[in-house]
Amino acid sequence: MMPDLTDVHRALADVYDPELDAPITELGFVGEVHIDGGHVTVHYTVPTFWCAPNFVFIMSQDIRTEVGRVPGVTQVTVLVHNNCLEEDINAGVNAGQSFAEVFPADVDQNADLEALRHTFTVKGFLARQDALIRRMRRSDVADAAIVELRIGDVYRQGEDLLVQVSPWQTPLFVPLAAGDLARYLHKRRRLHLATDLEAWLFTTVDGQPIAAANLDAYLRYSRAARLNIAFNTSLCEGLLRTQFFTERQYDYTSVGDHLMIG
Amino acid sequence: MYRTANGREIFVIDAHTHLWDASPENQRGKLGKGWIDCFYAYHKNLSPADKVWTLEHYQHYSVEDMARDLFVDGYVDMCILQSTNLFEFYHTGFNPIERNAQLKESFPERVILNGSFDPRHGEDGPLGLNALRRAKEQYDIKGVKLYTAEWHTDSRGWKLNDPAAYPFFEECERLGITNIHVHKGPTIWPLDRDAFDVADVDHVATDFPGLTFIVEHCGLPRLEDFCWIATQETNVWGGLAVVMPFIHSRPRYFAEVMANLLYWLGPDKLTFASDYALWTPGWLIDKFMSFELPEDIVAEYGVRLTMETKEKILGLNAARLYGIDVETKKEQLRSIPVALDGATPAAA
Repeated sequence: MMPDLTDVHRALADVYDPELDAPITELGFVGEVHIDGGHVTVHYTVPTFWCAPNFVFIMSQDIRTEVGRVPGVTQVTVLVHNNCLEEDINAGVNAGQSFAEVFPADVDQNADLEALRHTFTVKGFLARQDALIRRMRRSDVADAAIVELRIGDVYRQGEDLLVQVSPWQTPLFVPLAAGDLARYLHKRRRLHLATDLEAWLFTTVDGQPIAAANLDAYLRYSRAARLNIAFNTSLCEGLLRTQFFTERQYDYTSVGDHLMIG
Repeated sequence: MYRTANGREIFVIDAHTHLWDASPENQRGKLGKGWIDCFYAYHKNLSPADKVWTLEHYQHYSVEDMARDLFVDGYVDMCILQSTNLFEFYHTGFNPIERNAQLKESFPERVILNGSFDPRHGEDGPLGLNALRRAKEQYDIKGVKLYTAEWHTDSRGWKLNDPAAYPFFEECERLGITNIHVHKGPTIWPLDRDAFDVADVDHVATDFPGLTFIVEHCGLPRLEDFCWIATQETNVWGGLAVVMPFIHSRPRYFAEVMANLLYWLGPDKLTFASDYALWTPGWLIDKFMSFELPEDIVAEYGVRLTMETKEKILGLNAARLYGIDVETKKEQLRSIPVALDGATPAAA
């Protein structure tokens, strides 16, 4: 059976730029996808020649893994373009080698890319959490109520949320926050944090509750993390468009815009 | 000099500029080409359409072009030239001190020339300790620009807290080279670490309290980590190169980044820069002077971008770092025309 192109694209949508916390399909990185029998070849382009090779390597590997899971796929070739180390990365990833095997002289053999990936998953978690808390605060949900919320206290209604801060109070209306909730819960699942209805909605990345008194200090760091991801995302998309999609040269919309609330 | 509608004169120092040669003849293969193509993408994407140069002009502009863009059309009273050597990418380097010195020679009163060093060059290499001493002697440099991402033979970068770097910082202290501009960019080695990690700034800022570390690009793309360090260390500053052009394409992003920086660092440790020739200063300053933080951001962060703060960022902060008496300098520059091709621009 031949793999289906739609399935391949769906698989690619599960591959994230680890630094930008967004799928490579939404960022516009994915180019030609070629299917020949069970052999799928994916071309993708990173925004600059100097994009850090560690992150590029992670993306190439993830593409290989995700596309490899699509029914009918027997072989995957991943080819990244526009990177200073693309030849080494392409050869290594397609031979199934690890990062340390491809760059034995330039990598601490005791370190692994998973630790790096985790650092950025945490930043993504903070950014998504910050966006959601920001929406709630802007709709006058009190800090004391925010930190007490269980996942089951929040109801989606189209693009909006209804937040039940206590059983005897009318729920509070938080417009446009449904997408932020979905993105935040998605990240909680990736980090294996509780997502059942009884679980605290907002915890630290270690699953600990946040005290209302500490919320301000906590958010001071997370809002910078959120802003940083948004800034980088828009910069990377802009650089990509300028070089490879000139018709979108002056399109300043960004996947990161959903992190910019206000 | 920028003059406001009510006549207030704002002294401008463009704190991060270059006089580079990235022409095809100077490129060493695909690395030199890849470098300038990447810069050009930044320029093209973030400049207003009518401020975009041709690639050819961007690769190699003249001393006169730079003087016109900065001093005649760009409100700039003084600029600081930062060296980016990149000898592995360009035959004669990208903008080493010798090239930057051409602007200094033509406009000595308007140019602050900085040097650089690279601990991997040891005592006698072209960017070694002796070269640093010579630069002090020849140009009386008060600052250096460090580019930790620079490739050198088999090495693809270094860290500020590498033991080999310490004798260089000690020498800087001895020689009175107190302004250490640091570019945090894609250091490629070691490959498995976060290439933009700013933690090494923290170490050296603690160990060398007599030096000021100006982190160019404000640690973007690691803003949150940078802000944290700059708050802990009084001698860590932020340079606004690359942040500035967002004022045009994404003003909301610009506003929030500025609010973050003002919140964490305050108004006294930030310096304006066009990053010339990545961008030109004229339009950036026009937009910055008319820019106001949105009310919701003012309320949330509790900071304001007042006229006084703008004045500090545009020139007074950098003047303090480099020991420039602004009133004396203003007076001096009033009597020195910017002559291009031997003629004043008005005549030319």
